[in-house]
Amino acid sequence: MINARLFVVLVASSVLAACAGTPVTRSTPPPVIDRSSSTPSDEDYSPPSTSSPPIQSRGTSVSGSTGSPAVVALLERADQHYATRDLDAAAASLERALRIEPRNAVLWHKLAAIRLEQGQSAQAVQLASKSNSFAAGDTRLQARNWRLISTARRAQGDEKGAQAAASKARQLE
Amino acid sequence: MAARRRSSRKSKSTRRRSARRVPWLRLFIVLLVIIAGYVLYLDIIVREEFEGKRWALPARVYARPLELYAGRPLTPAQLNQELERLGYRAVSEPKRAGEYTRNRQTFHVQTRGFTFWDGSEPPQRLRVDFAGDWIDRLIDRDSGRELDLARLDPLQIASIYPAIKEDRQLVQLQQVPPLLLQTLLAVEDRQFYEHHGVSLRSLLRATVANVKAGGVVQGGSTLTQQLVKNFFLSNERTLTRKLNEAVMSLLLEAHYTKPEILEAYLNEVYLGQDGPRGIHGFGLASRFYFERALEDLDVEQIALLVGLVKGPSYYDPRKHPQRALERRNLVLDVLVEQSIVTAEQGERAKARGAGVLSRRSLAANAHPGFLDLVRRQLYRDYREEDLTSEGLRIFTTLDPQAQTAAEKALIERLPRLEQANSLPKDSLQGAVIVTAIDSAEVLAVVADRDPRMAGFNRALDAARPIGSLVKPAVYLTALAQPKRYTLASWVEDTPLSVPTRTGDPWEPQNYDHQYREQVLLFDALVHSYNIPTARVGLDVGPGRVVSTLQALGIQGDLNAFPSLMLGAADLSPLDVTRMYQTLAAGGFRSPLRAIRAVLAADGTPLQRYPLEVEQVADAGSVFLVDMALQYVALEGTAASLAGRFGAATGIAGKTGTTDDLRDSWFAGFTGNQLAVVWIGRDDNQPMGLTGSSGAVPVWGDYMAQVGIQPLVLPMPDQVEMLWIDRLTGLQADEGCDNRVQLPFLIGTAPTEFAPCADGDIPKPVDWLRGLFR
Repeated sequence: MINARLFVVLVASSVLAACAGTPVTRSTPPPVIDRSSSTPSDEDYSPPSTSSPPIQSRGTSVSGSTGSPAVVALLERADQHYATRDLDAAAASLERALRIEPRNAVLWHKLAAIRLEQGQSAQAVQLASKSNSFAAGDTRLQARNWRLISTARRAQGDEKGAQAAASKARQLE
Repeated sequence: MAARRRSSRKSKSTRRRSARRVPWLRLFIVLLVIIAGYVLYLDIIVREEFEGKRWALPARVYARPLELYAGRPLTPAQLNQELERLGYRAVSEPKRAGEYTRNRQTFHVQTRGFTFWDGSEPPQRLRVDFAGDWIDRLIDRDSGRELDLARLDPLQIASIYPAIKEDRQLVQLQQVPPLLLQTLLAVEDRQFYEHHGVSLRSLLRATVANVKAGGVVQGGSTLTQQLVKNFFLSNERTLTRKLNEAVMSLLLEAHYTKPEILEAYLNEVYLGQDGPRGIHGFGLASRFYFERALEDLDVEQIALLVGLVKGPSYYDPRKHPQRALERRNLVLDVLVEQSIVTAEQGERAKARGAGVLSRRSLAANAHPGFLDLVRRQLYRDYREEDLTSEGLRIFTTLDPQAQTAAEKALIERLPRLEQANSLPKDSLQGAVIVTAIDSAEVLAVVADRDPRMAGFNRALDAARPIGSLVKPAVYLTALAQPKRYTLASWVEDTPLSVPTRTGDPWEPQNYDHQYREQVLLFDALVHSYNIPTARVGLDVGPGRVVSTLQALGIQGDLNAFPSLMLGAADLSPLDVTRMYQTLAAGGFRSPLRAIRAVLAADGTPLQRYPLEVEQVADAGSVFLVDMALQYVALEGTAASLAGRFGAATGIAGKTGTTDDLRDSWFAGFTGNQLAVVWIGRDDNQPMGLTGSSGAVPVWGDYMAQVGIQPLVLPMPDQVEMLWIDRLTGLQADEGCDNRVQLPFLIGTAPTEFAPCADGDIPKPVDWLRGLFR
């Protein structure tokens, strides 16, 4: 039961990751914020990272993912390991991908799913929360994380917490 | 008594008589028994040693492998340095593993391949195209296909030895090139397959050969004797030892086959010295001198290694290149003479240089500060004898680029600071720790201004007052009570006197000894005002601040005294790193990791150190603090950083300065890295440096080398951004000259508008604009 649900979560999120990825354009450097249009002066302070472009405004970045081919390849490897039930190897591939894109919410989500499968419910809850911290604006992924948190809390014997998480997931769905 | 004496006399005389009758036979028998016993004893030694002991293999410690993939920020110079560190050879066209060629923005690299904890990386023929400061494309030259990613082999940074520092890389007989075996036998023991351990013929033949060659080209002992000598005996030159050697050689041959003995010899023979580390066996020697696998050696390299057997220090190709070359050519002559190679091949080989790589000593344990951290973790999880004998492979998180840059930053900046502040030469000390933010991996540790110095580890063990570095924890505690505090709250900046148990009241002062009546909480943090911080801390309660600090990761001792608010806590740079790691990671605490995985000698994973996270602070409150810390580097005590790197980098951080300028701290983070810098004196004397004037420039020198990934804080859903008038703390719009955009937890921002904001009446349009900006 649980496994089947998790599998759906994993498959769905890998599809999500694949879709989320905007292909890397060859001739552009890694993203740098252009501040030339608004230089802070003594009178007018603006936060160094919010104005032009407002990167951390919600919903603009897709779960922190740039979907680089390297990360997509590592996600595929993680899925292969997952399919052969080598969960440690799957986690290792995800961690390797996280070193490349530490803010990719999908990677954190998948790592959470693997920890849950390994019976590490507490860590699963934490990793799913971490995923949510990078998933601002991506309600689908947030809902998935809350579902996962709900399952993990139930596994921990926290029925009330499980229901609270499930209702958060419903609100987002 | 008397009777006994008599009887003993009697028996003595009887013995004397019988001894006189067959003295030699008895002596002979006794001698035979002794010899037999002794041989049996040697036999036990030989068998026990040969079968039981094998070799104690030190644990090998590796740095992180360099990942290559399209889009990776990396400069061609950085790749070049990495390849040099790994001992890759620059050639015109790479043909073998460990060779590369660079044509400006394009590299062709023949990688070595490596077994990692999560699978193995095959040797590949790579093409790496750069586009300025990042990798543009990664291509497999064999297929012409683009590769998603590849890893170079990791740099070995240390070995963990038992008391006797022998190092080796075991080889099996079948992986040893036949030419090496032929050469070895031709030079050291031509009768190897015929003799039984000792060979008179070999001795004679060697003598003749030596006379003919006009010098010693062959030794008289067999390989078996040499092995015995290396294996069991000391280096003394006595007849007893020679005898032992002969007997043990015969015994060894009686018990074991020729291939077994040969394989043992290939792994045991002493071939060089690297500081305190003895280089044993051809496997490691091949790496040590040429950075090549044994099977990749050229004929002249084989000849050089075999030539070394006779005297590794006398013929040391690094110290005595001419001698080594002559010896090598002599060996090549033997090969030609024995028709192992043709005369033409011999001449061609002789024409080539020694090809020995100059190399940084590994045994010096290049990064003692970092290795200390690794060792402490290892000794918690493993027994010492496993670490020093089982050949464990330890994959650490050390990033050689970060480490080198951090060392350089400290080494080069301290003398300049001393000069500029008229301090005695070499009086300043320092420590630097660098981590990767979300993975919590420790990338670099510098524990001394002489980074090779393995003494007191200032990064891990120094306990120094942290000064204003504590303040973000005070404000985080306050901002976690959003009904009472926001970044736009007013805090009193008036004289403060707090009674203490010791009698003298605690009366904190601002750094500039000024009072500003009241300041915005935001300004108090950005400009590091002491009195407002103390007031906020006392208001929320020192106990709560202690809890916050502990939640953030501080493990050192903390006292809930009022003076804690201003940094009266003696902590190590490592503790500070833990705290700021959690702040940089949005309130998620992760145990800092210096090790990724440990593998057994055969490559089986023994232990992984997985990434773990725990949310210990509300993401929204942490976001408010982090954004204020960005302003610190924009206009506060670390404003020099915005000047140096540009405001767009979004650097966040906090300076720390202690009483009488004894400690200079800076903890700062970018989009991907956190670096904590401490500068002070070991004798704890004042040095005249603030956090801004000491640690900040070192931090900047580090970041300038590795490159800054801009920090864009991920904004939580419960946060909104609003313009605030700095004079009133109320909402502002374009009409306000002195305004700042600040984050608020939704529903906590001031609703009133400042007088400067287009009249006094709040206009819904402005309010909405503020909300969605």
